Amino acid sequence: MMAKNCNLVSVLCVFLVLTLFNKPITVAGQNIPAVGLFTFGDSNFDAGNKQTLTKTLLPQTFWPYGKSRDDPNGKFSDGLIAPDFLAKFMRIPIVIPPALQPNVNVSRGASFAVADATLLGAPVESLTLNQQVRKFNQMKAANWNDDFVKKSVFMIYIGANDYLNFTKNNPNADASTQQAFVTSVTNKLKNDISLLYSSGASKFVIQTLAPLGCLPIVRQEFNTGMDQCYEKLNDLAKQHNEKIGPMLNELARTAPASAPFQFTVFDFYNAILTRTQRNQNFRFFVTNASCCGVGTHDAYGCGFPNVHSRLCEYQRSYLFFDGRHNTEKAQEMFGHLLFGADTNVIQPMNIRELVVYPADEPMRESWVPPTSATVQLRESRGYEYY
Amino acid sequence: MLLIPSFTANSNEPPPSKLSLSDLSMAILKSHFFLLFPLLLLHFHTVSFAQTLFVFGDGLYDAGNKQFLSQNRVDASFPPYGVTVGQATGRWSDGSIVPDYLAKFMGIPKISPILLTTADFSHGANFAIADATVLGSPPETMTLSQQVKKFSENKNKWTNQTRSEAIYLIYIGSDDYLSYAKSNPSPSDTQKQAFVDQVITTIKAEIKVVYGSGGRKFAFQNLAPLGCLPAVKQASGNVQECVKLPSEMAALHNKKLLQLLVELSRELNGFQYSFYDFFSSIQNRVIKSKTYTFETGNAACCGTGSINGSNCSAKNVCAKPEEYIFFDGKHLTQEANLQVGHLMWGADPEVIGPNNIRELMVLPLDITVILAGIQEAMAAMRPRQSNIESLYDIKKMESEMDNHWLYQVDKAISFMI
Repeated sequence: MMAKNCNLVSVLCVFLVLTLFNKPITVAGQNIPAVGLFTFGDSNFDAGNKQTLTKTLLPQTFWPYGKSRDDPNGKFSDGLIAPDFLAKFMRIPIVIPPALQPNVNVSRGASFAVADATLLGAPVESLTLNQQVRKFNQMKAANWNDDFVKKSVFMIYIGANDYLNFTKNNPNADASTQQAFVTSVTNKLKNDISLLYSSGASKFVIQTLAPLGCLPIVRQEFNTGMDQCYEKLNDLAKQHNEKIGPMLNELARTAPASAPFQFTVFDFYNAILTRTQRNQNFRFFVTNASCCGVGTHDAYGCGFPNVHSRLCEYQRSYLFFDGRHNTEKAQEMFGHLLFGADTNVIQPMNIRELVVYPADEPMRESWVPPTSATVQLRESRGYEYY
Repeated sequence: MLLIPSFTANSNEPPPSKLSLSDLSMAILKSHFFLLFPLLLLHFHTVSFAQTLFVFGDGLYDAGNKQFLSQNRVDASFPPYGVTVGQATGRWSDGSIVPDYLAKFMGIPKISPILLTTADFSHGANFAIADATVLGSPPETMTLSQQVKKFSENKNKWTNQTRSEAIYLIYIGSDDYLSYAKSNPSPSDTQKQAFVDQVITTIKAEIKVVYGSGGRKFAFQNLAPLGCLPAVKQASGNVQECVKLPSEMAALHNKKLLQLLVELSRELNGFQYSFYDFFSSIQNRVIKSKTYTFETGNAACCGTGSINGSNCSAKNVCAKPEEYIFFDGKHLTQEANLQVGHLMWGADPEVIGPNNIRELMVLPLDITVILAGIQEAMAAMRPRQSNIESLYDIKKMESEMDNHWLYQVDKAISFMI
């Protein structure tokens, strides 16, 4: 008798406790709200904008780009790119189009990313992040209402070209010059993100830079051989990446409660690095060279009319399709990581969680620098994280 | 068990690995995940790694059989055929054909024509021959039945295991529909369906014969939009548009062929297939030639007439075959064959499904429930969750496929070149 009463009481207690929560946070399940995905940055996220800005023929609009789908369409891949997979997981029924092309359906977002984009300077036939944000502003009134913008996901990948150019122009830069440059680049990034925030965006996904020294085109141009990366560029990328989390924590902390700043950081650096170090675990045979191109690492000239590029037979064995862009197979992995991975990959929350997090709630978590314990775990052999 | 492929220096593809669970699970995941996965855990599958290729078909795949059956001069045995590789071998192209590229990617030597009796057939044989059809009995060639009969007669050249693991590559039907369109300029829908059904029924019977001899891995290249072949356009008098009827017949055939393969995968134990959408590949290249690195999708490289659609000879061959999709009025250049080879070998399911040839090569042999989830892009079908034997499902599949293929045909005839 006593036992029965206890059970009843505990059940009633549970119900009582639940009713106290009059503002339940919907845990992400199948109820992904119908929001948009906006991407900014460089060729990694360019969905076809570059061809509208260049007078020359763009190699990415020619075979063998698009090889996996028999559809060269200006994307820097043999098929879809990570934002496309992410959009699928977000249940967006259309392809995220390049915003600069006419007559595209932008009802669920758009890509403002352009190949060769930088944070600083004035890249040729391209747009800086700042210009991309301004372009977004120009198009906003006609296409998206404030509520939609507030709830949509804004994803940014930028900076690679700044550091690649810097290294080319300053091959012997000393540590302090590098630091100064990283500071100016990341400051600009912060300003541009703030500009986007003031335009109404509140959910940001920042993808850290790849280990730039490990890109096949970089290995090729700096003659690192097949086993080494160009560590100087990896250092620059690491310095840049270290500043991202704290910068976003600050932006979230200083945002007013009435207009929260929500963000997450995708550790792309380690996603790429682990795939080059333990390639078999990720089912890649070749991670130090490209599927398409010429040169020591087959990294140059894919799609160029005057370059007779080698073309690998099975692009799904490769991490990189051309000198610096990932194959569709890798892009699909990144899409999965972005959408649903744990905090050692994307933190403080993954995009599935970010999308359903109420837009008028400040984030309760912040970005946390990796401890030496997590770093050790990551580097130990055989431990499968993803 | 690691086999080092004998590639030329042009490849930096590392040796293919043994079967990996990932390849298998990738394929399984494409359909019936919930049903199959537990079965997988219980069942230890036979590792497979196809090193044998059997080729059946017409001029597109003929590697030199025609000269043994023809009393007259066979054009493909003389220049300018083979001009890009410096040698005419009886292939109807300026160089290599699709089976050559697939053999290369598989890591085996080119497959020789069966009628060249002195050749080495240890890695398979090529039974394809120009002018081959499915129906009828055209002279100086072998119908599909005759090719399959030839295969059966020679089957002891290969062990049972080899024949089971081998890939059977088939491209046939063009000549059936081209003759039909010529002698029936305005058939009714019923007549068209009836003819296609005849062709498909015969193909079904021949597949079963090969299956009976142990064949399990079938790779089908569906038919090109036949109305876009330079020979056909030139003969019609209007070279600005693809001719409607042949393309329509091809589209109808393709739809029914896919249905046949799905049916067989449920009927025949262990039946595996790849269905390559060649129709879309050619359409893409004809409409947007430059995107695919071709200067033109309209004219052939070699021949006479407004678009070089007939009578290819050394006197009228273009300077750069790689700029053309079609070498002569009906066949592809080496460059086009190379792109097709890449697509068949490694493209996504939208292009070749449910598996590409590389996946087909390593698929374990005794998978009983077949990966017959047809990709949405190919046939606009919903993934099937239940038993598809019901008539309703087949009909629904047909009506959904209608839109896909006929839309393709409309695109093929309505553009101006």
